Amino acid sequence: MTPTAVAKVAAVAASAVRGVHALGTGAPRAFGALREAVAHGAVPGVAAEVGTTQAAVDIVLTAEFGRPLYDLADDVRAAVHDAVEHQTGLQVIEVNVEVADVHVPGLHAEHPAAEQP
Amino acid sequence: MTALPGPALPPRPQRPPSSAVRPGVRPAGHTRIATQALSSVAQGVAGQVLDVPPSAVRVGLHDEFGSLALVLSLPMPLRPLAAPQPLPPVWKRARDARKTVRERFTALTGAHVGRVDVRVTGILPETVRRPA
Repeated sequence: MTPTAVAKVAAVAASAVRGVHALGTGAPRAFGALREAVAHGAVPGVAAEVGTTQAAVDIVLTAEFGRPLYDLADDVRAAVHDAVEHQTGLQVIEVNVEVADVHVPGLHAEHPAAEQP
Repeated sequence: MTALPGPALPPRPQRPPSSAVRPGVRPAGHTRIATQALSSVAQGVAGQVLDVPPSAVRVGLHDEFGSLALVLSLPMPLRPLAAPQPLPPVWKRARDARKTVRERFTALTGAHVGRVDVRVTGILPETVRRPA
């Protein structure tokens, strides 16, 4: 099981959670250690470390404005944990979630290039 | 300036685990809310509460003895005095908005807000409302 495969499973699960606008930072204007490592990998916004029986996943996401961010992060963590364990058989030891930005309707309209499709 | 100072986040109340997880097992991992996310939430909340485009709101985030201090700089909408339903005075609207902004911001981010300052930087006449 490669890290990329695990990351893709995690990305699909995280994207389906209500309130997730996009994976990744959305706009490359801020810096962070986790974000730098995660944002530019094979699967945008997701990085996975995979051992023989265990995996750990880091997620960086842009949230949709309106949902409490900690509830959203808890749901993303639960969804990723569940999806990776069921689809890969690996034991997920941790899922770290970073909310890098929040998409507010009307806020980024003057910078369409920064918008995620 | 990527991380919120630690003390500004109160301990999270325990939530029952989602149905996606085995009962009694809470998946491990930490959650981090970036400063940019806090700033965008503040713009969105202030835009809602004060009825201005979020892009017109400038946000400053500062430490206030372990809590978060929000400084909002924004123009306020203004309606002609002859209008059928004039708005309350700018001063009153700005003052009344502080409590609502604080409550909504805390509900969305979990961050403990010790102070909200509103700085009125201009006026948005209703007939020529600036595009968002």
